[in-house]
Amino acid sequence: MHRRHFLTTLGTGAALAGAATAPRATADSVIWIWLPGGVAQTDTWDPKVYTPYRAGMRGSELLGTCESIRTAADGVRIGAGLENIAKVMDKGCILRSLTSQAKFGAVHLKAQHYMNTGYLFPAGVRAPGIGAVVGRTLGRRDRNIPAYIYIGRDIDTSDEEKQFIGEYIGPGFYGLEHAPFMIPNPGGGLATLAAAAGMSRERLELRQRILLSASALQKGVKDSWQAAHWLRNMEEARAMMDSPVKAAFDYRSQEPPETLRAYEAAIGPEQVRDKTYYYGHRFGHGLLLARRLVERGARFVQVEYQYGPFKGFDMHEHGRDRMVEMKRQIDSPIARLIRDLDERGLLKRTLVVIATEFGRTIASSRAAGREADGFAENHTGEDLTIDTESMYGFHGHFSSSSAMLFFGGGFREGMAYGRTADHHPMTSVENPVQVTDAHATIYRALGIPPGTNYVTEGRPFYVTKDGKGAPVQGLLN
Amino acid sequence: MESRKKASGSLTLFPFLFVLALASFAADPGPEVQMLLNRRCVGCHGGPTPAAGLPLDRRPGSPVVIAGDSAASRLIQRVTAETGRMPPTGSPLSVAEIARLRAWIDAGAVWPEGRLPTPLPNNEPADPALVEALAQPGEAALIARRSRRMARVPKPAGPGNIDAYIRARSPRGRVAVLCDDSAFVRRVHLDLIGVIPTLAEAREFVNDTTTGKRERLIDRLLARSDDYAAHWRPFWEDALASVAFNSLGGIPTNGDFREWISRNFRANRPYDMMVAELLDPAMPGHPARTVEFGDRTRVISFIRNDSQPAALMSAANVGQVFLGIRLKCATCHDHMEDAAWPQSRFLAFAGLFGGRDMEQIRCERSMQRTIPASFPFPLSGAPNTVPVDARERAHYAATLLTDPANPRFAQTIANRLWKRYLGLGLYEPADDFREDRQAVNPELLEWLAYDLMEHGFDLKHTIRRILNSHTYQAAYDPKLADGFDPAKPGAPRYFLSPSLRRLTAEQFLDSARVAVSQRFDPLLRVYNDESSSALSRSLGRPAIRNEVSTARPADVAVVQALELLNGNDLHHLIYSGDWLEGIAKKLDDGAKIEALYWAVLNRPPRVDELALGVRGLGELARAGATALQRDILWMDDAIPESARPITKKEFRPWEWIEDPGSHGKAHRHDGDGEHGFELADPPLRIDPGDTLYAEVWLDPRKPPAEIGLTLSDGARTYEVTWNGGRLPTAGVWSRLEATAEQLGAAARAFNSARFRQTGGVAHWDRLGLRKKRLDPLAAPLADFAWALINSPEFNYVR
Repeated sequence: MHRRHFLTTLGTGAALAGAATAPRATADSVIWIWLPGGVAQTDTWDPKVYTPYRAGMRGSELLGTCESIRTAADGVRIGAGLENIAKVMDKGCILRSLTSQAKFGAVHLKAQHYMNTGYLFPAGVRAPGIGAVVGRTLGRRDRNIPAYIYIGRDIDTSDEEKQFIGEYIGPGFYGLEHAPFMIPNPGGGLATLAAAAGMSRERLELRQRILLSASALQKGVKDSWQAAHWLRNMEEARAMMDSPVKAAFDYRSQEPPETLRAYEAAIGPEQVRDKTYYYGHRFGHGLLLARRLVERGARFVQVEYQYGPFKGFDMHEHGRDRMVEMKRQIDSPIARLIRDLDERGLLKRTLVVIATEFGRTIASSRAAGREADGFAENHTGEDLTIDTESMYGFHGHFSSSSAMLFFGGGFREGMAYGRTADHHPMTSVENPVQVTDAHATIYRALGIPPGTNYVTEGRPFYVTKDGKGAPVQGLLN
Repeated sequence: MESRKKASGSLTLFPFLFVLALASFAADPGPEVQMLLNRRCVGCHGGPTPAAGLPLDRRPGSPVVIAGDSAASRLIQRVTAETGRMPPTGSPLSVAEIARLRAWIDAGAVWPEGRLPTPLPNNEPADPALVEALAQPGEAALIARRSRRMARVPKPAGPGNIDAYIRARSPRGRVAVLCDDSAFVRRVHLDLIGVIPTLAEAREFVNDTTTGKRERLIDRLLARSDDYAAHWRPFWEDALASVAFNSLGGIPTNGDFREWISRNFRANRPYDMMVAELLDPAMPGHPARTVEFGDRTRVISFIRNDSQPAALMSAANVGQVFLGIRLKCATCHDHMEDAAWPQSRFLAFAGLFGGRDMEQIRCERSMQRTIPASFPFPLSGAPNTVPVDARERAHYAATLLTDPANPRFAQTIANRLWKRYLGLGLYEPADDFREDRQAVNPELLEWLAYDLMEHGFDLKHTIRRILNSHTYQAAYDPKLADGFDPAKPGAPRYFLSPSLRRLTAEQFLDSARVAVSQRFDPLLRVYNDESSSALSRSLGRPAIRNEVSTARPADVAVVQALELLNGNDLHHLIYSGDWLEGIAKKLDDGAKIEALYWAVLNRPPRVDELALGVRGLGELARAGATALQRDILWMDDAIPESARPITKKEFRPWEWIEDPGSHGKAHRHDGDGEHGFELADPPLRIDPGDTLYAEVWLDPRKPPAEIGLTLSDGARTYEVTWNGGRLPTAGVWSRLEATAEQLGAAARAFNSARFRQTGGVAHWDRLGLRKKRLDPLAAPLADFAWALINSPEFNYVR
């Protein structure tokens, strides 16, 4: 299908069909902090009671592997180890009852797909990630900065799972134009914005001019719309090399050392149990880069703490120690991001979301992969005996409830929304919110109606499931 | 035709057109009434067990429909009743819909047989040819059945010649101008083997003055079975959603079809036999694998029926790929756009592939109904009884689907071949066939399909027909090229000019490599490479395949343009072209430009292009040479800084010693096994043309029988081994070298290296990389080659 024909049939109006008037936006940009693996909500955003390890304790007795601490938000407590985030909790809210009817069993990828696209896999079409939705619907804020940027994920790997992940953080059927600009390592920047090694500026300029002049002489094709479209993109790429985006990447020389330190992990490689899963300051610096990009006009920046199967938050053993480590990785950088945005007056119109694909519960068996029924959703922990320290932790996948945090962008401040049960299974007992409705709430803040859709294969595909996402008013101001 | 189209599209002009519609109904009611009944009634009143025993997917008799008397017809009475109205739920039939039904009945209730297919059961007796084929699966049975069944297929009357069909529908009898030989040689190379010709091949063809050279070139390229199959592979991998592994984090995939595709296309296997083998477990060579998933066993294959959703998806995939019908929409509800496919019809089809009758779940609510499986297309002589056994059922489905008397099968592949070589199909969209919409040249499509079948479903036969036609060989003219507007799917296409086709990622990368090296090395072709890079992804080569697809995106976007402009992969591919170095030294600027145009665009430069080229080369030469790339020393007296030794069980520990012959320290290895390091950061990047080197000393008292190096990126390993005569002389420090191509490791980043040996004692020292350097003299040529490779003419087949 020709792109220009596609545009004429679609038009700009069709995209926002589904609402007579688009809601007024309270946010212009999003920083989506993606922490895959399944963050244990009981040790972080939804603490219950600290129940220290005792050899032979029952799973049902394990309600928390750490203390909880007060935060700057009255009545809201979070897990110890997040002291910095606690200090900025008065600027955000915690959704504790994010729930899903789908039970994913052992399958992380399905849950990650669901959280990023709002659709269960397989969705019948290649579903776009939320970043592509926002990028396509709202477009760029600043014309020099790509609308959808993704930081912190390796891309050129041959691991199948990582290739699949590219599918749902990507543009899906929207096409290449809405694909994210991938920045695996913030220190490395966007590699293709810099000329290839050995290419001087002068030669680059000359070469570009030759490209355009030689193309203009190609009688065979120069009058086709394809040729015009092609050359326009090559010129846009060239222009982007000199745009403000590049300056954003230069944080090492432009930010004071104190700032750089605040955006770093509070744990070194020699202190982690698993040295193969240590990314240094990639995550923290990724948040700093995200802030700088938003300052210059980025629309949607997703920063990931790179997923590794059975690594990091994806804990199936040594849960307590893992959580200590991971919290030290994320606490200072996230808190500093909120603070910096606030001080620069950006927090009001920038929505920061912290998301994970599901929560965690007590495991249903001694070790992962040996669960009789494949997953732990309904377990009370009665029949699990924790007799080694490696078993002490939240090692079961739990999609019945998980937490999502929102800072800025028109969301309520200083409160927690929804409640989960105090004993296993800790399902949502008050104000459960479906994933599609959480998405609808985010879109609402951005001024995107839940019925917004784009046509593929002759039918509309909605940004919330079937266009029926309902924004949760209790989360918004 | 014209009046009927008006009637269907303008309900608001109904009173005006009523008379017209009435007249046309009497003559030929067309499929609208059938579609209306499908949309509103057949959901319940359809399939082998219709509600109240009343099927409305075939002509209703009295008293439901009394020809000539709509008022007395029960159909009208029920849809207008106050109580007991039909349909019993949902909105009633609209005023216009009821009026249409009335008009149809009053005009005689003529049912257009053969227009909208009446599904089985047939009333005619089963054809013995099919009965026997069903009883005796296998290749011989398929061939026998095919020729017997061809007798049932009416031979299309008509010229039997592609150009005549095109001319017949050409406005004002216009005939296209033939493309020149340069355009032709490039076009057929790209179309048949997926890569451009070398400069020598292109020149030789253009300068050849003998007659019949175009036909001979087509034959020569078709005879290159490996290269021909290589070009088909990406298309079929996409169409079968082929992936190289069984599961993605717990989600079973469709399986790996690469070998199966290559084997079948190398052998030019008949198309019906290929498809039958793919779908039918009873065929020997059926590609499927049984895999344990925890406690469940699953069959990994194109047809997956381990759950209802998987079975539905498989049926939809079969429909899309082999019948060109978009059935996905009918999995959960009646197809919203194509009234020929109520959900029950699709579920009947799906039951054949699912191995069991499908439960009807409409919009996630169970309808408390199971739809008996049946073949939902009219097929004369087909036996009605659907086997119960899942395996036999699959054989039944495959046999009927590939039958010559099923027009959708041959027409779909004929249309795909036409689209592949002309840019647009005779029917568009090629995956969305509608009963109420014709191809733009239905006679041609019908004949092409028949001709394919008559020649034993030999794809090369039809490809030869198409490529030898004047139509295919027409010159590209942007003013004449057809377009496709989804809003006007019935708009005519005349094929007076081919449409521009974007090169696939594979065609682009393979051709760029040939352009700058002037060598065609099948081992370096991208289709071989399982891994994925930012460049290949941005050009449209999928990293993973979860969905079937029959077309690559032709997207152009900044992400892609940045890769082409600055990306390392393409830069190294172009800037290491040793052929460029050769001509840089030997030719003057004018000859260089001429050579470049022939090499990259397969044609001579025009006068203005030559002038521009010479001027450009001069400016580039004055702008200064490329900074030479350095050698990269990866390790010398210690493992790389961030790396750590591999401590897994089978690995030996590192043993460092002082060795005066080395540059300080060496690491020693005694006996079998290997030692290595991993997690080096940053990784060592190897590009095409680079050479890996390692320094080694073999103990002359105890030399190893074999030594080797293994590089790894954390997931895959690349090895090179020296043994026998290739072992370096013992007792002296030697430098081992392995090119990126020998490693099979072009354009990758490695974070791990291992030193292997079989027996003996070896000391190892430096490990590094000699980057391919382009002679500074050749830099302007490489720049110019880059410009031509990134120009629109290179990126589209014209």
